[in-house]
Order: sequence, then structure tokens, then C-alpha cells
Amino acid sequence: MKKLILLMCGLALLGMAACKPKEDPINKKIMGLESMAELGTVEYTVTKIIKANDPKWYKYGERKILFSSVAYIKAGIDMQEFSMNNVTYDKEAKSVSVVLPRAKVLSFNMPPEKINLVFCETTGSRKDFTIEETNDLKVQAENSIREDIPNLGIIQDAENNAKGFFKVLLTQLGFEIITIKFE
Amino acid sequence: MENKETINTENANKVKKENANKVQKENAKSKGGKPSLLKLSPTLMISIVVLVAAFVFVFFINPFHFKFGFANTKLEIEKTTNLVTEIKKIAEFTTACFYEELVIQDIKYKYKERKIYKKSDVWWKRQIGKDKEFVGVEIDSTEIGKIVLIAKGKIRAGLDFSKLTENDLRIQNDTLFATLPPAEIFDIIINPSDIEFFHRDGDYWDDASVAQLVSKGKDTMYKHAMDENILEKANKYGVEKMSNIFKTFGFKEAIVSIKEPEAVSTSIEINLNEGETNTNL
Repeated sequence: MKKLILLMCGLALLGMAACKPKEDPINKKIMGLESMAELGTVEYTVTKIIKANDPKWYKYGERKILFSSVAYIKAGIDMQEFSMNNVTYDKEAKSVSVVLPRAKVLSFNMPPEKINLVFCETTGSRKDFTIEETNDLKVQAENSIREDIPNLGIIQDAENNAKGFFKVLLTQLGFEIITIKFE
Repeated sequence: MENKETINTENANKVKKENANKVQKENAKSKGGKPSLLKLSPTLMISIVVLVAAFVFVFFINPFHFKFGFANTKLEIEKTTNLVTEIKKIAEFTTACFYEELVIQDIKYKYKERKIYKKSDVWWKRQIGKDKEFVGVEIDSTEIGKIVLIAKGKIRAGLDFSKLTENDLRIQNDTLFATLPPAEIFDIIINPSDIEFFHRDGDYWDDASVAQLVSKGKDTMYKHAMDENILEKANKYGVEKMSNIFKTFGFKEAIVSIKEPEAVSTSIEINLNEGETNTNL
């Protein structure tokens, strides 16, 4: 009797495994277009060597990989919230004072087609790097650059360039005394 | 004489005692006492050697690449410098951004030629056994591998203010006339972190081919953005935003228009084969 119950349980488990839900449809696409008002004033090109060594004490052999990569970072001012409150002017005195929002990173672009494999070696009984593993290494490199952005000086450059841009624009609009601040 | 006899009896007693100890030890061994390593049975020795060899084979050599719980340590990159190689002053006023989550797939096929014959109509050929006539070759394809990626991308478009000239801004009384450069695509972005490997069956893809697939995905996204009239919308949003910004500087009216685009040759090549690609192997 016990054997029969065990057999039935086993069959039920097999049945459950076989009846797993079908894969989600993968052809759905989500898209959208939104308006924005971002003034990019500086672009940094950052290069990074991505290298990984994967020794394992319990495996015979080793594997190493090396990529060169490049990322383009743009920074500037988000003008979405810019309004009358940000500007004070005196037309007669030809003076204007503008308060701009602080600069920020507007876009980060690390094109996969510009990440080049330079060196890859697998020895002993080690298996080759899979594309999922190499993509994970690229993601780590991307995160490393993103984390390093505050140290690159891009924000300061973006604010300086924005100041310069608005000074030229406002001079063309007829102002002579121009003050630009960031809040 | 008596002394000699007593010595002999003492020696005999010693020998008796030693013999008795030996018998005791042997009895203890036969009852399950500690056996010496040298006296292991050959079967046991062989079993141990086989087990050790199997352990080394599975854990250290691991030819079938089994995944062991303790071995699932994440592969990490080594620290390297993030080197700024170029700093460029820009004046890109991004006014529209197109987002898309797209599915990129590639299928590898194996092709096999199959010769097709038909029965001959000529009677004498049939008589001599040459009743089959070669008609042609049919190519059978079998799917041998498939990869499906899900990529989240975006396209940023807007007005390039570095192309503004002095003549593009004109003031008449309290009215500003501005002619802005036409919208263009600034960036098509799919970063490594935007790529998800949804399905992979087979080892037919390397980094370069994945990059090619992503590049193809960018082309698709570009086409979709164009279908959504991204440039027209970027122009429209640009005019609206700049009118509002100009008005904050005290102009009663700001008449903003977009320059007629020159015969623009876009640098992005559209080579679109949506969906599947076939690869001969």
C-alpha cells in the first residue's frame, strides 16, 4: 500500500513538472515618446579597460578576459522647470539675473558595439566565458564608470559651459549686465 | 642448582605471559579492534581509490561543467582607471526622447541538400533499372540554435544650438524672432545593463555577434522612432519650450520657427531585417 502511495506521489510530481506554464509571449514591445527640455553642455568620452581573471582553487586551469570599452557621458541643465521665477531683469539698465538648476548627467551611452574583445584565454578544464558572463562584466564596468562620474569633474564643466552659453545668448538678446547663478 | 631451576621457571612464566598477551591481542582484533592500514582488504582499498579519483574528476576537472553550490561565486572585474580621453563643449537642447523595449532574436539553421528524383517516363529506362531521373536539389533547414534578447533603449532628439548664428535671433521692438536649427537625433542608447538574455539555445554567439544584434536592434528602434515622427515632435516641443524661455527674458512675444532642413544625409544606416536572421553553418 505504502509503495502504491509513493508511486502515485511520484507520478503526480512528474505531472506537475511536465505541466509548467508556457513561456510568456516575447514579442511585446513597449514604446513611448516624451517631451523634455534638457540643455546638454558638455560631453565626456571615457575609456576603460575591463579585465577579469577567474582562478578557482577547486578547478584545474584558469581563464582570463580583457576588453577595451568607451562610454559617452553628457551633462547639462534640465530646463523643464525653468520659469519666470528664475529670471529677474531690468530692460532699461540692460541687466538680467538668471538662476539655473544645478547641472546633472543627462545621458550615459556605452555602446556594446564599441566594447572590443582584446584578449581571452581559457586553459585546463575550464569552460569558455559565456556571453551572459561577459555581458555581466560589461555591466560591472558600466556601473564602475557611473559611480566614478562625481570624480570626473563633468558637472562643474557642464555648469561653466551653461554659464557661457547663456551669456552669449543673453548678449544677443540685448543684455549687457548678465548674472548667472545655480541653485 | 636450585637457583638455576628457579631462573628457568621464571623465564618459562615470562614466555607464558607473552604468549597469553599475543593471544589476547589477536582475539581483540578478531572481535573488531583497530585494524592496521596495511591489512585493509584489497576491495576496500580499491573502493577508496575509486572514490578519491571520482571526487577529483567531478570537482576539479568537471568535464560536464556541473554547477556546485559553493562554486557559484560571481565573476568580478578588476579595478581599472576610468580615463577621460575627450571633453567636448556641446549645446544640445534635447526636446524629445523615444523609449522602447524591444525583442531581438537570432536563429541559426543547419542546411542540408536533398536530391530529388522522379520516376522516369521512358519505358526502356525502366526496363534496364534506370527508372529514377534527377530533378533538382531541395534544401532542408533545421533550427539548431536560438537567442532572444530583450533590450531597453532610448533615442534622444533635439535642436543643436551650436548651429545657431547671430542672424538667427532678431529683435524688433518687444518681439523676438528666432529661427532655430532643425531637430536631429543626438543619441541612440542601449547600454550593457539594458540587455537581458531571455533565452539562449546553443553556443553559436560571441560578443561580436551579440553586439551586431544590438546594433540591429538600434536600427529597428531608429525606424520605430522615425515612424513616431520623433524629429517633427522634437521641433514642435523645441519651439514651445524656447518660446516660453525667451518670454521669461521680458519679450512680449517670441516668434520661434525652425530652419528648413538642408538635404540631410543621416549617418545611421538602416539595414533592417526585423526578427530572424538565418545563418549558414
